[in-house]
Amino acid sequence: MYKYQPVIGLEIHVELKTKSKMFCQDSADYFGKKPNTHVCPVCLGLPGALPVPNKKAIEWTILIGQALNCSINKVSKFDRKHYFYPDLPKGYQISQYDEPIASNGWLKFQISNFKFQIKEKKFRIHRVHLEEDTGKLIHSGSDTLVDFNRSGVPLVEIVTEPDFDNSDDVKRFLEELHTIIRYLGVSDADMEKGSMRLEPNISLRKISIQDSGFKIQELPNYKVEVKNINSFNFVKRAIEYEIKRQTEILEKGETPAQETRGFDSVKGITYSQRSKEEAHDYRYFPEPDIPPLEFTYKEIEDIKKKLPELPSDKEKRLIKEYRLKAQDAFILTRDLRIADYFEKVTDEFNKLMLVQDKASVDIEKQQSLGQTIANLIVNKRLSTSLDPEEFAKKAITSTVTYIADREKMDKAVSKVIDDFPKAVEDYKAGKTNSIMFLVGQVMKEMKGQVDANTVKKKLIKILK
Amino acid sequence: MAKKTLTKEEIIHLSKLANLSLTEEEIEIYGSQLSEILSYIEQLEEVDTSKVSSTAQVTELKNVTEEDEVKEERSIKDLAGLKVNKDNYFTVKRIR
Ligand SMILES: [Zn+2]
Repeated sequence: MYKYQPVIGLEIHVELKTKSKMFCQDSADYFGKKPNTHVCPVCLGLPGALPVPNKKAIEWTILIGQALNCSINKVSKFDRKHYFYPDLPKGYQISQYDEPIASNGWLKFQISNFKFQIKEKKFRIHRVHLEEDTGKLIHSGSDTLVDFNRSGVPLVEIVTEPDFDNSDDVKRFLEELHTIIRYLGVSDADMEKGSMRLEPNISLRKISIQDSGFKIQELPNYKVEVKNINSFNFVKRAIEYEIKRQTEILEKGETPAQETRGFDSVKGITYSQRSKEEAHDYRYFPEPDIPPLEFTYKEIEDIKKKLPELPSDKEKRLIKEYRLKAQDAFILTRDLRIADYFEKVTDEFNKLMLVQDKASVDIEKQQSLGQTIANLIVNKRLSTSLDPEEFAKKAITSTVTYIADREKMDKAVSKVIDDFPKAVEDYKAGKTNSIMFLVGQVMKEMKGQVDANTVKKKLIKILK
Repeated sequence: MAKKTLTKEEIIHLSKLANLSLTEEEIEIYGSQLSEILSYIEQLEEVDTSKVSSTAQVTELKNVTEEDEVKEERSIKDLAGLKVNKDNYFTVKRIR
C-alpha cells in the first residue's frame, strides 16, 4: 500500500518601499508613472555606470530576517545572475547567491484545522536575500514594450524550506507573512500592484506502507515551480491543481517534468512555461563593482531594537491583557492600525470612566471591558474612522448603564409586572413572545429612555 | 602545462548562454581560442594558495552604500535617439 504526500516550498518576493532604487538614486515609486522617466545609466545598464547599494534597503532586509527569526550573516555580498531577457537591460540581475543577508529562520503561528482544533505550527525559513526588480513588459502586437521604471527597485526574496504538505497551511503562512511585512512598514505588500509575488514549488513524495506498518519514503526526483501568483487564493488553487495533476502522472508510473508553470486563474489550471534545464545556467559570480557588506554585532542588535511587536505576539498579549476571545484578538491584529486603535479606544474608555463617579456606573459584568470594545469594532457597530475619544464616548453610551437610570428602570419593571399579571402568567406558561409586550410597556413607562435589550434581560431574570 | 580543450558541445552551450549564433567555422575558431585562454589562466593553479583565504574582491573596501534619497538630477530626462515609441516605452520584437 502506498500514498503520495505533497512536499511544498515557497519563494516570496517583496518590493521594498524605499524612496530611491536599490543601486541608484532614481525614485523607486514607479506605480502609474510615465514609462522610463525613473531611469539612469545604472538601472539601464549603460557602460561605466557604478551601482551603489541603498543603505535603508539593506537595513530593512535585516529587519525582515530578524522578524522571521533568521540569523543575520556578519558578512554578505552581491552576485550577478546572468540571463537574457528584455526586462533586464544589463544581461544580469544583481542578486545574492551564496552569502545572503539572512538565513535559517522560522515562523510559527496558530492554525485551526478542519475540526476547528487550534494547533501551533512552525515552518522553517531557508534564507532571505536582497536583489533588484526587473523592468515591466507589455506584449502588444508584434512588439514587446519595456518600462524600466521598476528596474532596480529593491526586491527581497524570502525562501522557505519545503515544510508544507497542504494548501491551507501555505495560505495561512502567506497571510501571516503578509501581515508581518505590513507591520514592519518596509513594503506595501500590495498583491494587486505586484509588490508581493508568490511562487510555490510542489512535488509529491511516495510513501509505501508495509504490512508491518513500516513506512518507506521516497524523495521526489523532480520539482514543479509555479511562477508569479498575485493572490493567496490563487496559490491555494494552483497547489491543489498541481497535487491532482502530479498524482495522475505518478499513478501512470511516469515522473512529472521538472519545469516552471504559470497559473491561469480563469480556468483554475497551471500550464507549462519553460523547462528548467535550459533556463538554469545563471553563471553566478561575485559582483565586482560592489564591495562586500560586513555588520558588527552592535549594528545587527541596533536594527533588532527597531522590530515592532509582531502580530502573533500582539495577538497573545491582547488575549491576556484585555481578556479577549482568541478569534477577536486575531481579527484585530491583522491590521496594525486597527490593533493600535483598539488599544487607544480602551485607554480613552478607561480615562472617561475614571472621571465618572464609580458608584454611578454599572458595566455589563459578564465580559471584559476589552471584549466589549472588541465586539464594537469587530462587528462594525461603530466606525473605526472615528477619533478614539469619540469612539470611547459612544461606546460608553451604548454599553454603560448609570445606576440612577437603573433604579428608574427597576421601578418601571416592577410597575409593569404588577400592572400586567396576565402577560406575566402567559410568559411563565411558556408563551415567550409575551416578553416583548412587557418590554414595550417598560419602554413606554420610561418614554424610550432605556435600551430595550437591557430591559428584556432584566425581565427574564426576574420572571425566571 | 596541461591543456584543457573545450568540446564542441561546450562551445555551442556557451554561445547560447552568451546569446551568440556561431557558424560551424566560428565554432572551430573560437573553440580553440577559448581553450587557449583557459589554459593560459590555468597557469595560476601552479601558485601555492594553501595559506591564502578565498576572497571575491581585492579592493579591501567594504560597506560602500548610499543614503535612501532620490536624486532626480541623475535620471535621464530625454530618451530621444533611443528605440522608444510615442508613449516612451522601449520596444523590442515581441518575445512571446
Ligand atoms: Zn537608475
